[in-house]
Amino acid sequence: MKQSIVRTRGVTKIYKMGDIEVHALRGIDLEVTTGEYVSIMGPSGSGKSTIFNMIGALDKPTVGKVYIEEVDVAQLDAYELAWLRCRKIGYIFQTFNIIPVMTALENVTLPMTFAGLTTDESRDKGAVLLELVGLGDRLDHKPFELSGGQQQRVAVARALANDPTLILADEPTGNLDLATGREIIDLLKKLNEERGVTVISNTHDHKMVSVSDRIVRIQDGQIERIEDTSDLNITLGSIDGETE
Amino acid sequence: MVDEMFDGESGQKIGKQIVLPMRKAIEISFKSLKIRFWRSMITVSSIILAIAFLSQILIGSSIIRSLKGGSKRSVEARVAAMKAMKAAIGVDDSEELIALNRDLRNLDARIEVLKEELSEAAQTEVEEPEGDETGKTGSDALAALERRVIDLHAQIKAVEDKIGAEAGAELIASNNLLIEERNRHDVLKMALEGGGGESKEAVGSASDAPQGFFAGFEARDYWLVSIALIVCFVGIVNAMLMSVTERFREIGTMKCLGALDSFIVKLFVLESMFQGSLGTFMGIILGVVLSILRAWWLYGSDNFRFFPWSGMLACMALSQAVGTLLTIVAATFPARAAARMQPVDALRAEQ
Ligand SMILES: Nc1ncnc2c1ncn2[C@@H]1O[C@H](COP(=O)(O)OP(=O)(O)OP(=O)(O)O)[C@@H](O)[C@H]1O
Ligand SMILES: [Mg+2]
Repeated sequence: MKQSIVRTRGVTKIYKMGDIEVHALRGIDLEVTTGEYVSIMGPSGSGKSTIFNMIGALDKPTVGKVYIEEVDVAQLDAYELAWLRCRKIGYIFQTFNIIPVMTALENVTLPMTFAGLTTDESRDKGAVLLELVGLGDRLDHKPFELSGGQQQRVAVARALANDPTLILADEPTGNLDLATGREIIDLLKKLNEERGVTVISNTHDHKMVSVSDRIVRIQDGQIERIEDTSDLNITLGSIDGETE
Repeated sequence: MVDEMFDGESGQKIGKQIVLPMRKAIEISFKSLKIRFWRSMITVSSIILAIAFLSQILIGSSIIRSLKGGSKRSVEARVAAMKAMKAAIGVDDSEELIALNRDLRNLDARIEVLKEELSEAAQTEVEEPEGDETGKTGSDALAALERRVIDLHAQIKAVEDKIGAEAGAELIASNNLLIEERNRHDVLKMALEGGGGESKEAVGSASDAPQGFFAGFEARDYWLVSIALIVCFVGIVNAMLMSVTERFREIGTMKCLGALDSFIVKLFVLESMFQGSLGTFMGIILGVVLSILRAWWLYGSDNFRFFPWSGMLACMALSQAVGTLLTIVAATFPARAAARMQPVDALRAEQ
């Protein structure tokens, strides 16, 4: 039996905007095991990004718990949280979030610097990673000299900087054309297969379905159902309610 | 190398992020300044302008106080020297000699004027020969005055014979210096009060040697310096706030990549320390040059000997401290606020 890398229990997120409360998540119970490729799908505003932020420890749930490798994220101190974000998880965002003043290589080596690698070590490793995503000849280019697809590749290389066991990709193809988006998906699938990296992703592209092991369908802040693509077994997701 | 790091998969517990050494923070902050060199320079130029303004006000007010005091003291010193000289020579004789010399100088001036008038009259005479009368009375008056001059010279000779020619010459020279100094002081006083407005009795009140920094400060100086501080504060805080808030997204990204809050704050402290001390230093140089030029323009170069060189150093030190600290604080507060946010909030908080 594979071990769980992500587990959420009754995760609820309420945004308070003045008097109005927005229930972005209404109790999410989800378990992802190591090496899986999971897609999260759902209409706009259903809470997909919010789930990514909770799983990635980039925001705190209002209620509920998130476990990464069975460790309760809420219990971690600032150093452990930084360690988790630095080494365990690689983030890919719809908006790339590349640091615009840095070159492709500098962007990729930044998390290595935070992890304590020396300048030389991180430069070598950064070059290898950029080679891997097909940007071996663009090391010293600034983001504005790169196309959107190339920038997203830089983001993928950066997400891999400290060999994370989990990659969270929230709409990695959202700002890309179909063909470029598929290249990114293929790249993520390759990493998943060759390196055993767990990938949780979210895209509007239905081609994504074919590379995923499971598809989690979200509707209005709740898991509607979870589809298993490997044996085409459609299992019902827990629609929550009973957890705190 | 890449593969050995993959044993993280075997379910190891969460470690603690290492605290990067100061050397690394300095390295990264310098690199960060370098890659956004022109943007940094815009921020720095705001600091330069703000501090140039502040230090120019501080130094300008210091110069005015010093000129007032110094010039007054210099006149007083001359008066005292004259007094001593008179006492040594004999007060009555000295005063007589001085009076005679004054008369002689006045006469010389009148003769000059008369001669001028006569030569003008002589020119018009060529065309209108009737103007003979004025010519005649004019030359008569001139002759009378010249006789008075000879008379005065004789009287002066008599006094000088009594007190000694050398002492007499010294006395007269010293008196001339006093007159010159008084005239210069009057001109300066007018220039100072013209620019200074209501502070009429200022020359008197500033006659004590200015010792502490705020010695001789008047309401107007406090007012000016307060305004300068406010302008400086707003200018620097605005510049730093802008340069930090436009990097909130970068702060959020760095947090996602595993930067510790303290490390992010450290980067901004270092960057702003560098920008602040450089900008402030350049601003002070600009302020010093401007205030010296201004004083030179308004009060003339012969007043430079009353320049408050040490007071100016104090103003420079004060400006340096104010500028550097203000810059660091103005950068660190928003940076710390952003570093403490949840990463998503920092990523979302654009401007
Ligand atoms: N910071 C916020 N403040 C207030 N409400 C928010 C905030 N972030 C998200 N929401 C709300 O939470 C709900 C879920 O948002 P979320 O971004 O998770 O949707 P999504 O499924 O990612 O949508 P999309 O596919 O358009 O990206 C939405 O109704 C949104 O308005
Ligand atoms: Mg979204």
